[in-house]
Amino acid sequence: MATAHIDNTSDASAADTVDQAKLSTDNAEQAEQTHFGFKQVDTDKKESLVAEVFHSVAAKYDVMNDVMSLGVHRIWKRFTIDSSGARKGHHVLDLAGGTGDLTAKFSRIVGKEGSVTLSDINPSMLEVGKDKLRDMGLVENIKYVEANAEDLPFPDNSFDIVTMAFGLRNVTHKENALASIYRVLKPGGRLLVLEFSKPTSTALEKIYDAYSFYLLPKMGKLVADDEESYRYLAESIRMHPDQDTLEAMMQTAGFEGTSYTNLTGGIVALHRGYKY
Amino acid sequence: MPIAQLLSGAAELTANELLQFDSDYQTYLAPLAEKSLAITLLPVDLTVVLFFTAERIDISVPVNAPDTKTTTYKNDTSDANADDIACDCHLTLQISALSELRDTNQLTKLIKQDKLDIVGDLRVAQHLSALINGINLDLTEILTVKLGDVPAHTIMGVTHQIQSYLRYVHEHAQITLGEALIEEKKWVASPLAIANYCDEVTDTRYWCDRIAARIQRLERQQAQATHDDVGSEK
Ligand SMILES: C[S@@+](CC[C@H](N)C(=O)[O-])C[C@H]1O[C@@H](n2cnc3c(N)ncnc32)[C@H](O)[C@@H]1O
Repeated sequence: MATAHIDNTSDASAADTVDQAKLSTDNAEQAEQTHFGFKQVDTDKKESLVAEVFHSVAAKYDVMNDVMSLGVHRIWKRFTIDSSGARKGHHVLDLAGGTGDLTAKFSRIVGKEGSVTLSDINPSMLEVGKDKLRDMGLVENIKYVEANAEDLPFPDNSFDIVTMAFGLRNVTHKENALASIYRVLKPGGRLLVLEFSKPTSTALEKIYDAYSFYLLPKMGKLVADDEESYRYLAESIRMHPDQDTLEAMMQTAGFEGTSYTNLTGGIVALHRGYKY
Repeated sequence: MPIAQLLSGAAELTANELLQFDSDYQTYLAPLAEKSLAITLLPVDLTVVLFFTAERIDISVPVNAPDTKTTTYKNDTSDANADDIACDCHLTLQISALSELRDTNQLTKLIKQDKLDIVGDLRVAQHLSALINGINLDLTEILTVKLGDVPAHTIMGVTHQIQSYLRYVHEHAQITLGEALIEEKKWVASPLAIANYCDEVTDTRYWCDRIAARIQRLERQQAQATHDDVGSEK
């Protein structure tokens, strides 16, 4: 495996490292490489590397989410659901849905006449999600589908709403995922992408860098005994396209009426787009 | 931080926790299961949607898309898209009438006063009202479950003591204030002084009436005397 590893253990500024990584991403693309956090890996290896990360964090994923975000991820997810316009009878796809936080709420909103499909590429995450949702008594209207967002196994025009929370940045070819989502959305349907993004103020960005590159892996080690996975999470956040770039990508995939809302100073952004 | 979502999250958590304290809560929730109810509060134009299942209530504050004509950064998260709110029942209500909503007998009055507008299935609103009025919450029990037996009873004991102390202070303060106004500040007359004053007024009126009668008599006598004098001169 030809990897152009970038040393990120030094105290060099995270922003510099991101720039270097982006540069080498550009160069590497010709050699069919892509980024995995700040590292360069063969494009066809990224999927299994991401799978390893989520397999390893699955059991402690919910606890870590609360610890890392101090519970704020719940508010971001509520905001996503409140922006979805979901109602009784809707068919919702919670893509890269992991342990099913969004699925749980959608399931109660859409009721028996509707359905929620919890889909993820990773069977370990899906299994944790399935157990959790069953413990919550949510069984009737939820389907579980192991699938790659880049190639969704659903018929065209199947869903009223597709959500992808903190999933898109892990996908190797984001443009493929967006096109695939566009295909499975019904005309009039909407896509909501909740994802880490670029803080709107430099001061916040500095604090956030310090937090995610220093504190986050340490917390990962302490709580989940898994420093590497949480280092990947921090790095993958920096490598993810910023607000405007992602919006442009959505437009390229065919989405209309696109917009985004920055949450918590742009640490996270919710992007929306419609298929008309 | 989306404040509306923070608050609705807290409200949802509290409402569902509280429901669990009444063993009959499922009886009240059953007729609401799979129903949704939107409440739009005027004049703030805030909409809250309640989704019911047989087990719990989910609270949502629908968020409008930022202006889609421009694609620039927007932070406006208020107002819901009208077509995003498709519920079984939609109440539009003046915020000032919120407290009156508990009493279903008030509904017609509120509608006539244009303080309330109901679209959709009225029974959903009635079942919610029945839930709110019917649910029986025992504060001691809630605290016992949350904090344990001893702290709950200590808190309730202290609360009762504080209540009776406040009641005593309240009553005592009224007496003391009354006395202060009468005795020290002399801003208010004592009952005895008022009685004396009334007696004096009655006496004064009596003497005034007597003087008025005397004056009238004297006037009549003088008029008579004048009349007699004129007659004898003729
Ligand atoms: C950070 S988790 C987010 C889980 C959940 N949506 C949440 O917000 O809690 C990211 C998820 O994306 C999934 N994922 C990564 N690449 C994917 C792909 N290509 N297709 C589908 N899911 C993918 C991972 O397995 C993981 O469960």
